Amino acid sequence: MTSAGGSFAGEVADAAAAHAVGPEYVSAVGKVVASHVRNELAGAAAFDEPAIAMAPGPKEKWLACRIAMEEYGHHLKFQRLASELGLEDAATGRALSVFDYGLSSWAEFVVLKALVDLAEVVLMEELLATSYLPLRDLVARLLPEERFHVSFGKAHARELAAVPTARPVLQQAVDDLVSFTVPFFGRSASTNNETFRRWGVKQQTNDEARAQWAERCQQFVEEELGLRFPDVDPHWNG
Amino acid sequence: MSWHAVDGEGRDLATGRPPRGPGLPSPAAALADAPVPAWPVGVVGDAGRLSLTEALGPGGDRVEALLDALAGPPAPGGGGDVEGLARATPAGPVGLPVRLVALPAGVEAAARVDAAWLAAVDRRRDGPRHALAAAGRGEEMEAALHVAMLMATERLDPADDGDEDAHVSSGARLWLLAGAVVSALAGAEPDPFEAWARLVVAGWWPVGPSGGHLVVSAPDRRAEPAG
Repeated sequence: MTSAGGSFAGEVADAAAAHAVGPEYVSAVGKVVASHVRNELAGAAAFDEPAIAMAPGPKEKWLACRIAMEEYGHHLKFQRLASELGLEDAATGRALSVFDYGLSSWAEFVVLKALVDLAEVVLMEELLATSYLPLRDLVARLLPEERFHVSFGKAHARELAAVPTARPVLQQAVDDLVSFTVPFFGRSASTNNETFRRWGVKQQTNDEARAQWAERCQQFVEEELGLRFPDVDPHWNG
Repeated sequence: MSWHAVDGEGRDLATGRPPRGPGLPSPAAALADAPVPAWPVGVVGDAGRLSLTEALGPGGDRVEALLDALAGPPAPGGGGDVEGLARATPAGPVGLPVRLVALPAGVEAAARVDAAWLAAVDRRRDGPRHALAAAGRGEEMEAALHVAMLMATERLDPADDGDEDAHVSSGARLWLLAGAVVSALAGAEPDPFEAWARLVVAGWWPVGPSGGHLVVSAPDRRAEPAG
């Protein structure tokens, strides 16, 4: 089941089959799943729940409530996948540094949904071709909700961008959140990423995923918001 | 003592198999760790099985009754006297004429809902939350909310993932349901959320006072004529 280049070219149907492939494969899938377990929960707790109180009106409040519940639901679904793989401690460990961002306004929240959730979408879209089929099936089910979170962020960011007094706050949020999100994709020199690609868990390097995200963000920020997009070097080693 | 959350047939909700190995240190912690919804739900420990009511302690019976109604099919007739239930809002009685509207009009009304009334509902949501925490029952509250949100997030899932109106309605009902669960567990008497919780589990979205009417939307039903 390996390709000419030595990479794994098979598909793995379930947890038992993953264990049959070997411990390195289980470890690789487990690391990817565990990062989603932690980050979906951290995202819901750090951003979406406070946003319910920051919402400018009841409609936005209830949208934020639904989004928070969906993020929490994603956390639980990834956790279930981790349990099936036999990972006991998927929820422990540190969430990515982007979740250290201190959310202080509704404008930041909507920019965050538009840009940071887009990073999650980029990572999930890649997993639509992952060799571990339960993970592939799960992201196929969750992606529509994640894409809705991005479209919600974009729509409300566009509304704010039409208000001249809100534009400096939006620009600041873009500048801050872009720099916070760059590490989200991992280091350029990542041995984990090499292992993920060797086993077909992922297909892209961290730099390729980061570049794809930056390009999609830049298009939105410059063409739809009419704001400046900061320079992003896809090469990042901390 | 070690506890696992289980479904009605005793399967561990984390694995789908009979509970095995170390679990969580309390019934509430086991419920709060459940990764998937199940109804009925309970916990199993070394000493046997506890129902949700027993696991949550005082007020647990009211939470279980609320979630049992949510888990079942919508009540025939939409849950009874919709107008009467709608007027008993969580912020107190509202005497405005009740207007039943379809989802788009409900979302439009939600954008203009009375701000003072909404702030009063917020306070009614916060009161029992603080009371439970002060009484050392934060763990049971988290467990009750977790179980309720597991069930409700899927039960109230917008049919179309791109439909913003459906998301607003779903979010509002999740917000009300969370308030109702905490109020029920805290044993508020009379319970300010009871009437609106009955509407929510029956498929209604009670929006609130807006534009001179008390607006109730029917997002899970065919559009009904405006009253």
